[in-house]
Amino acid sequence: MTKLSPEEQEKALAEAPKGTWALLLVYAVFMVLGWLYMFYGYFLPHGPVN
Amino acid sequence: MYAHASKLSLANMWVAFITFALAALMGVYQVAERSGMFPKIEFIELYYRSVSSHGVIMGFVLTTFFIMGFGYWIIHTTLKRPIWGGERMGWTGFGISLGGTALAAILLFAGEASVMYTFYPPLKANPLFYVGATLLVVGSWVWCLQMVMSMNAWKKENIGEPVPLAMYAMTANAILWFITSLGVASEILFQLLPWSLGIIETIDVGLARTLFSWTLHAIVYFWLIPAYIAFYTLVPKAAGGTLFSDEISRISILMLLVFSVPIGMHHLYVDPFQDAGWKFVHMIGTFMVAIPTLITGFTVFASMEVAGRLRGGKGLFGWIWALNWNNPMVLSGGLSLLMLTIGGWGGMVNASYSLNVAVHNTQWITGHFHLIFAGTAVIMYFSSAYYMWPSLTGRPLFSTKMALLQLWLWFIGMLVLTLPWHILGLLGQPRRIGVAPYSEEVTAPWAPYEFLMLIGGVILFISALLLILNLVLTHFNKKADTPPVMEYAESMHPVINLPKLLNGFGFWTAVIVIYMIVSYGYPILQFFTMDTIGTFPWSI
Repeated sequence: MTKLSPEEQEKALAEAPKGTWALLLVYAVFMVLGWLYMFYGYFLPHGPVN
Repeated sequence: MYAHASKLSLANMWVAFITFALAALMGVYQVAERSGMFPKIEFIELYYRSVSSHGVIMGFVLTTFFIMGFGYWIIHTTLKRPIWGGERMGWTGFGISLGGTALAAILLFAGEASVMYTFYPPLKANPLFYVGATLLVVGSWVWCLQMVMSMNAWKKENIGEPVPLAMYAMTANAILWFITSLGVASEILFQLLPWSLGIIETIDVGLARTLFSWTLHAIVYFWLIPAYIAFYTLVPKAAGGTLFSDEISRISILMLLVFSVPIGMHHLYVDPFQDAGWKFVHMIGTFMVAIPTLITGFTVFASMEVAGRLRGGKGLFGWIWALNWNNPMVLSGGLSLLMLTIGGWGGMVNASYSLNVAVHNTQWITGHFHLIFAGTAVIMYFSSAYYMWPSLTGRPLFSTKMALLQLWLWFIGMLVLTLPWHILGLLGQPRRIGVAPYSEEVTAPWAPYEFLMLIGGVILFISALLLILNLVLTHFNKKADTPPVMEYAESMHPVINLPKLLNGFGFWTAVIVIYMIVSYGYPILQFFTMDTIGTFPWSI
């Protein structure tokens, strides 16, 4: 754990959570691609119920 | 005052964890039985007895008692005032719930109630099982009343002050539980109990399933909100940071409260007695729950990012590695959110009206709800217990290393158990079966995944034992010189002017009632205006 100066602490608290936005973007892409795979890659190829 | 309050909380939580350990043992038996590798333990009747007991204990007993214990401790540690109605009322509720649990357990273990935790008719149990289940719920209503009234009493004593977030969220959970349990209570009182007693000969299965769906989805949020409370108020504290936003957290909790109750009909997508239009309405409502879930994800990650940066983390993701992952609360927060991601993705598949057909009633569903409940929620119950136990007992936790090992084992075991279940579901394996009397061609591809499922079950059981061991040994630890205090995260920006709508529930309760009437009014009313087919009982 790095010891931050008071200025650095202020900056850390004021900074926008860019990492969180990036992480949520990765999550969103994962969710959408996963859903699309299930629909187009798994569900539709099974064809209609006979 | 604290010593008495801690006894009530501890009593509730010990009932939760002792029954949990028992249910975990049943879980190992069930995966061994299902694997088909041990023909000598394949007894169908015993399997369903075990599955029913496992489900009832995990879904109703572990959760209800843990949440009641957590709630009482939150009253004492955030409001710092006596529980409304007094400890005696709390003990009365506890006694009613415990008596109901014992009665239901006797019937379950005796094989008189092998009806699974959903007790869908025409499966019929001994009437005393339904009485026991009702008492468990009625006892928890005492807790609901005490949570709501304690919050109101505190607000009168502290006019204009924001209710502490943990208390606010737990009170939301009490309201949610009361409203959502009315569905199953109506089903038991007006249908299952008279039917099992022989007062009525047949039962309307459609109405019963619709009433149970009223309970069945929001109950998941009853289980999850305590985990969200830990995310919002304990994880940031343990990580050495602050909560990113108190207001956003309240909005998320309120959205969960309003959105999660009137959407249960997605459990009935393939049931014939509800029209497709109603199912579509409930599907839209189900997807709306993704909004507070994403808000929670954002708030918790942002809080952790702040904590990581305060610990010297740099760059876009450097804060992740800077976090103190050797803290059980921080570790469980990260692991829980990972399981929520995978489980949430599965949930999106289940919630999609068309896609649901591909996975409906398969082992995929079992995998999904184990990831969300036993993974996401229960791992936070464990870390919350580790966090609370020192303040509840006045003694430091016996072993942090054992706690970390236990959490890792739970995470690994849960993935080893549930990911193969998802695949088995896609391979067509039905859920809730003890044996599969299908052709070799169908069952052969299942074998490797069933072996993995068995490994996962054993890992989870070891983890469950470690939890109990650590908590028990903590009671024998030396008393701390300074009594440990239960601490909650402060908001990064102090809450000064909180809108009334974010500090009470009157308006939101009215919204839920209207939303419930719109989404469930006609679907329930129709059973009284059309001819339906009564069903005779059937038992395993």
